[in-house]
Amino acid sequence: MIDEPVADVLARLQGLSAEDILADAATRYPGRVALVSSLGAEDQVLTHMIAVGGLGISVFTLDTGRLHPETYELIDRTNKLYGFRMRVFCPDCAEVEKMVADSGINQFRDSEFLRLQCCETRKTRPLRRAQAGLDAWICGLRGEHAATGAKVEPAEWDSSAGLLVLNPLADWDDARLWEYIHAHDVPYNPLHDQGCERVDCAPCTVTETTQATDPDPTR
Amino acid sequence: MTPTEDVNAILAELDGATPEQVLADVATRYAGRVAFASSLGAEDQVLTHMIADAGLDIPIFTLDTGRLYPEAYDLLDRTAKHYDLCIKTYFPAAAEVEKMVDKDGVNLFRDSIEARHRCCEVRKILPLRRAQLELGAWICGLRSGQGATRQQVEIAEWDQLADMVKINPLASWDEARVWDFIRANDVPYNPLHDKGFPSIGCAPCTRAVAEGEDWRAGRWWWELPEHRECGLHDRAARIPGSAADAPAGA
Repeated sequence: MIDEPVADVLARLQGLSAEDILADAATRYPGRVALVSSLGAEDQVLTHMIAVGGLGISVFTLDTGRLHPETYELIDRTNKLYGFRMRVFCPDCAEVEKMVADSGINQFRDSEFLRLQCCETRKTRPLRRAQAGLDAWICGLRGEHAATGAKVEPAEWDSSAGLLVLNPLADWDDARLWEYIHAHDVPYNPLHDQGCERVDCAPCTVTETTQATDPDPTR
Repeated sequence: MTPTEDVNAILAELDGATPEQVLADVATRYAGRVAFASSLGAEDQVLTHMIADAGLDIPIFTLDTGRLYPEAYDLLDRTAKHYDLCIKTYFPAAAEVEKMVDKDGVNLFRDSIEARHRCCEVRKILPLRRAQLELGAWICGLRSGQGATRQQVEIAEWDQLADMVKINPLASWDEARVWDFIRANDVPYNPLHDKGFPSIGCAPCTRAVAEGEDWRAGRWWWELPEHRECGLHDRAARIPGSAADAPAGA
């Protein structure tokens, strides 16, 4: 457990670059910090920084069982490029089978309750397993993401996980993100080039095709 | 009765029977101990239609390997709603997938035939075995002429790996007949069939085929034609001359 108050962590990280925040986390929480990557553009930047810096921070990802084929290819390409293997966490088969038997394979379209249940089964529970034994987790959240207008800080307390969460790219904007990706040849999901800003589970992600055909393309 | 006698009896009694008659027969013959394993392929959609239409007491299940095409999931949803059916879905065990992927990567199936079989085993065969517990017979949509591995398919066969009878009601149908039935009965089907995919499996292991190519040419296309089975259907060993190089469980 970390006993340093989040305010102190934040003060310490003030003005540090994303690379320095990662290096600091690697030193301070050795073996007890991991990047949970969704393979999004931000996470690919963080993966690149971790791999190139030889920081020894584990990279985890959640295979919900409903990812885009392109996402699996990206996992594979990323592993091969950096010569490491990100750890993949999967949903519990009994839970998936029960959920699907009760409400169908695409139940997330039927109500918000069912959609949240699907996220819970396929993402949140495997995430909790991945987080077991960690002091802190790293994610690619940026201020620009926050639809709610809430500010994203480089360090926050994740009360649902009971862990410190580090957002090394909190103050990056889109332009900076993509400049970095292009400058460092970071592998990224080709769906980004097809108008997909964020890539999640295939049936719950808006692509140009779904935008054209779906009367309500909001996720 | 020995397995062979069992199969021979069915073959004799159902000689010349229509698929609908075969289904009705096995629903009674193996009451409560028979289920239909649907891969949501065209043939399987025909069988689902027949089962639903006749109101037969044959549970339908499918194997969600976790790597299916988005179109397959949508078809599963449409089919369940269209026929007001519960299609039981079996999903691979997290610990098995995680261990495999940890060791050999998320796309291990491209590295060797052994790795590919391991993936089929974890994502398809083991869930299938769970689905088959307590069954005396299982039904599937195999047809004769479905490519190099499926030249001769009988209505009833002994499935040695599953240790039970396998029923192939469409054994004698050809592709034209399948599609005539689908169109005549408005059976929902996978839109990928219209894009050159005759046989549809997991997304990374399936691709479209060209006109005139083998029916299973788009499955594991980087392997030899006689290896293009996942292990659900023990067919590689049936091709003369290929038995020796057929891996265990293929």
